Amino acid sequence: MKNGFRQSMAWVHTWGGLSVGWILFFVFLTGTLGYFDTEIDRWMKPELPKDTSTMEQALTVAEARLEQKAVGAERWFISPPTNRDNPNLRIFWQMPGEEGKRGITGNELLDSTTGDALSGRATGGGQTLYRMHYALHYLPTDVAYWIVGICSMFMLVAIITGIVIHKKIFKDFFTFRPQKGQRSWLDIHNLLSVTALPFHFMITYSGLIFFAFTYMPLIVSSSYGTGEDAEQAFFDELFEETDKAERANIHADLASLSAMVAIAQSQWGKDQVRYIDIANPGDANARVSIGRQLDSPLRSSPELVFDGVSGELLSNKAAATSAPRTVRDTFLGLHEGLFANITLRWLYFLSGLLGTAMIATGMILWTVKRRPAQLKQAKGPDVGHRLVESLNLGTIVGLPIAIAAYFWANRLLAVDFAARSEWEVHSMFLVWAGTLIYSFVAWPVVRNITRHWIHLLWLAAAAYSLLPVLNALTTDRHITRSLINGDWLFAAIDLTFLVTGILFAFTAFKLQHRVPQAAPKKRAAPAANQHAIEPDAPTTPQEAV
Amino acid sequence: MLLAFALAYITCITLCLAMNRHFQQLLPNQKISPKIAMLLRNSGWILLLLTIIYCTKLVGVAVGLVLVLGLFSAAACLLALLLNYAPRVALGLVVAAPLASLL
Amino acid sequence: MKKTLPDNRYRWQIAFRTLAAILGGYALANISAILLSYLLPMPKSDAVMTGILLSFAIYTCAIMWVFAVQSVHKAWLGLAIPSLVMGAAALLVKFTGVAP
Repeated sequence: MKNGFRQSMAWVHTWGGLSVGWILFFVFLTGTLGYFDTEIDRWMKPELPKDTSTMEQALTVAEARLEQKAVGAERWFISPPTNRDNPNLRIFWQMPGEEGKRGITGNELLDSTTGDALSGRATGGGQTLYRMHYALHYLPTDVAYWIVGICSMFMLVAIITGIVIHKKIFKDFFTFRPQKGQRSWLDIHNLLSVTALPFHFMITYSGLIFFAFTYMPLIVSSSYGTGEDAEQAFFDELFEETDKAERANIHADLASLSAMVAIAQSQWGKDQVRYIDIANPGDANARVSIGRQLDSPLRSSPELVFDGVSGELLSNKAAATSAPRTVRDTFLGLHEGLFANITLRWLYFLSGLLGTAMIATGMILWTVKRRPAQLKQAKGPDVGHRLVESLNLGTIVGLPIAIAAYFWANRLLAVDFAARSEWEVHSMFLVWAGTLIYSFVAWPVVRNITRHWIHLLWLAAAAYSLLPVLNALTTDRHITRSLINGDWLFAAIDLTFLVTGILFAFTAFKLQHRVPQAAPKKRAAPAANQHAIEPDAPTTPQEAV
Repeated sequence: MLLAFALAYITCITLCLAMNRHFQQLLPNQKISPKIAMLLRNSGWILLLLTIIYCTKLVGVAVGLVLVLGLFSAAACLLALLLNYAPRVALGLVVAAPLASLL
Repeated sequence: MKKTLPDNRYRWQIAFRTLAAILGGYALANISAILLSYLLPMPKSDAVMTGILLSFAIYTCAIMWVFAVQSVHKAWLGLAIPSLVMGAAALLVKFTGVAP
């Protein structure tokens, strides 16, 4: 296209990256927070007690509750409070549906010492944030999947072309030269991209694989035909779910679950049971599958299958089978990181932030590179340039502020307000809209855009560093108490908010003291004296830490 | 786990010292001879191998490889920032990080 | 895409290339993955899964190729010819009964 392969690829990288960068920023940031989804859930339901029960207690309570709520169900599912995904005992049930339709389902959190249902305040929690990174919000899911899919495809192309156009990946591996304007932005963009390159590639490619059946339906239907039955046939074959026990419609009591769990524990060790999945409870053909904790990137965990009436061990299902399925499971497992312990989870979180910052620095680089020439134009910067400047500001700083607003809303909305979980999300998007409006007010003054960055950065700093204060004022879980009680989850989240706030403040402060404050107040100043203001473009990475 | 990070960090700084530009940043008053540079580079690669072996021993091959990648992302970014803003701290960590992991 | 091109032609070029990359690349990725899923010597479901896994890589290569070649015509032809050939091969395989 251009003269030479590298130049063409540079063009694709720049414009492909720019065109969907804001959505990708949203996807990366919300997805990164998703690595701490259950922790955020806990923080957003501060009333819930910490579960300290034994497996035995949890099973008794769960079974009693399911007997009470869902007799004759098609499926019961018990998640004991044994790992980070389930800090509290959770039960799920599904009633038989009519003629091929999915039956009514329900789920509850239980207090495994008293057996009462736990409710806590209504909140979207970390799950809602996490869901946004693939299903966005306010949109039909199919539409959202396609939008995210197309953006992921752009991301994949941007990553590969990025590697192609980077001239000295190894030589410049550690290179960062600050205070050099455009050069610094390129350095930091490269640093963030290259040091976490395997993560960026893995997360993007596996993101596409998650919804591959949606994005590439023709490949399946060319072998299996069209329609839902054909699709189901493919899934059954691929995932080998042929040994489903048919209902016998003869009543039979369920054998002791704790005896089966004991067998599983004797094989795998204590605390290794992740779930108990009961098909056809109360029926002569009941089957109980017990799943093991995930301890490797392979997504499917080993399962023990029991006869639900006799309690006899039927089979010991290994995790994955064929090579393509293993590849798929590994990709998806790596993406979700469910196997990650706390250290690895923080590294995942960090890598996600590096990816988010990579996108942000790429977008900023685009404006920094073009700003001097744009400001020299007699008629002022082009509409397109202004659009990018405003969207950058309103998204790169605006979205973090909006997410802070989500947490603020969780603490400030009345606990008994019926639509509170919806309004948590509305607050987030209203605030984001607000920051975008603010940055579009900055529209005519690209010259002073740094000032607007500083304002929003201070706002972000306040929004985050005051969150622990707000938490202390509105709940009884203030940070000193969390630290004294050794409640690391609450302490860590409060501290993370504080550190985030400090980083925003630091960035704002640095930026403020680098900008000559004597910027003339004329709006469309004459073309001559303009680049005196420009060279002090922001040089500190917003979220690079 | 901290020892794994220390290993990753030391690997990074060794490879870094083998490059003239970064050597100047860390030890501005000294010159690097090609021989030393070569030595540093080779030790860097050996350390990299050791880090990988240590991590896979620690948590198994599959998770170990994921861990190595995560640790190197963290260590390399940290080092790149320290090189500019606090080169002494960058050198100090070579001693401090393994010591901290022993505690 | 040289600077000497008039603005309008430049824009059309970009539009045609982008269209070729997104739609043509998608078609090529699908067709080659389908052919692959017919020919791979493994159980049907695994072959289809392999095709799906690889389709995104093929798509990426196709997109890069469209923007790398000199002319828009060449870009379109480079997508169309392999698509047609592989599509024909896939149909042939399907209707001669070699593949399901």
